Amino acid sequence: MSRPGLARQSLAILGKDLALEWRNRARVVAVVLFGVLVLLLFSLAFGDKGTQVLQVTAGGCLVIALFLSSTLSLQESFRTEDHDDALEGLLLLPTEPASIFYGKALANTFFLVALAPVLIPVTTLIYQVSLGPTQVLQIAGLWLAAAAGLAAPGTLYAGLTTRLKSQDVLMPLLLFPLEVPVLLATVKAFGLVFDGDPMGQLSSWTQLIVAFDVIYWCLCGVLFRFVVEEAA
Amino acid sequence: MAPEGVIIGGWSYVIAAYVLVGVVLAAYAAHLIARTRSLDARRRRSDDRAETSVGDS
Amino acid sequence: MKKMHAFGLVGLALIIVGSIYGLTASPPERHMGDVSRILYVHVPTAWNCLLIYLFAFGFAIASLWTGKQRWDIATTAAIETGVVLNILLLGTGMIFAKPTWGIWWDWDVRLTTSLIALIFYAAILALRTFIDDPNRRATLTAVTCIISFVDVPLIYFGVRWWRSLHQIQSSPETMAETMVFPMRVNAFAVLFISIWFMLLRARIERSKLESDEVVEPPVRRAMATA
Repeated sequence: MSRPGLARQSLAILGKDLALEWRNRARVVAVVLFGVLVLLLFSLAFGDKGTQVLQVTAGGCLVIALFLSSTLSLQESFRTEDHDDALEGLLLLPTEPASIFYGKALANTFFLVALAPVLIPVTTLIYQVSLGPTQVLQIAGLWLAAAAGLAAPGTLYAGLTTRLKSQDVLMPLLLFPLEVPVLLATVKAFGLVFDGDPMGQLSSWTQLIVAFDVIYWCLCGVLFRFVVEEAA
Repeated sequence: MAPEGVIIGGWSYVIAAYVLVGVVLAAYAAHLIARTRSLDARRRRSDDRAETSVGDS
Repeated sequence: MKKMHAFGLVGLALIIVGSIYGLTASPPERHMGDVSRILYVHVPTAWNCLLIYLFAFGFAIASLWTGKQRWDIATTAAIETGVVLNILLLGTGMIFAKPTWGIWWDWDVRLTTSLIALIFYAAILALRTFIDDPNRRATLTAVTCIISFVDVPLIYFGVRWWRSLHQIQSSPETMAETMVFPMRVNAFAVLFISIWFMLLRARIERSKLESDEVVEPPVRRAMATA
């Protein structure tokens, strides 16, 4: 009997996590609502300065909404494995630990991408920016790249801090400094999409985010083995 | 700040920087030594108490 | 035991010599004037901060690879010493920024990068206090330390693309000998003091772990190598 490869194993874990999440849809809705709430709060904080201020800050506020929502979403990714030593059970299967990581990281990317169809339209409404079809596509692509950049270290740190008393404090404390390069690049890129890109800089910022994604996904995949061996 | 001009004075900044370095290094050194002392003292006490029970590694 | 204090004493002697030379014998710089004397403490802390973080990175890899407690102790000692130097680096940098740039703080490449690095490593130290199991604590420290070290250059380039104001580093060739001398002496001074700090901190960590062990012997890490 031949063992399935890393990709097949990862996809199986991804399927498992997506199925679990589908049975518990209320949480996804709560995370989306939280993202909307963050956007709303920022617009209230800056709204009295006029529509121009709102339009200028739209990109930054959208990225911050994604970041803040991501902590809620990412922390949950190992909580399901806490019950009945489920993580130990996963590790006892003839799977690579890396496949658990990549499966979960893909699932987390998916959940973060799932925020986009709600948060982006809400941003265009509240922050009064108008997007054409190409701009929507650009934002969607950038969102995917940013979500992937958040999901890889986020999954690693969620595994790292699982079962710790103060996971909710430690996760953002560890994750947010790490995400500063992704934050800066995404804010710049969103700004270029919203305000126009006369110098054609968008592609270089996109490449930067993708480069961060590649580094994080490789590094975290390698390190994950050590994390779960201790956590189990 | 004029690009051609020399910054005159500024000794207060220089002294502030050196004092900062001195104070931080000294404070950290004092903290480390104090902790070493207290841990040594505690270990000596527990060694005296557990002379016969726990074997040394 | 007494030997480790030699590092501290040598460092102290060197920093006194370097600082007195830097404050008196060395001439004021052409544009920056006397304010340039801040660089004789700022640049050495910056160099050593990076070097100590590099040590921490190496120790963390060794800790993860071997699972030996002594590497975890070394990693912790290096991180904490690095954090102290990082605070000094930021403090002296801000004091230097005020008279030269006219502002205490700017979101410049190196200021931003070193602030984020400080938050990183301080967060690792905070993380350690939350975990009671020594094996798990060692893994978490090592993993977060490796990721942080890899991320610092990314932040650097990210911020550099974002904006820049910091002056280009001078190399010894472009500097007068009278200015290189205090810089070098202080660099070695801070290095010796840092080594002394690390040795002291490692000793504290070791006796702390030993006193924990009396209470409950840790499970040897068998799974990590399986």
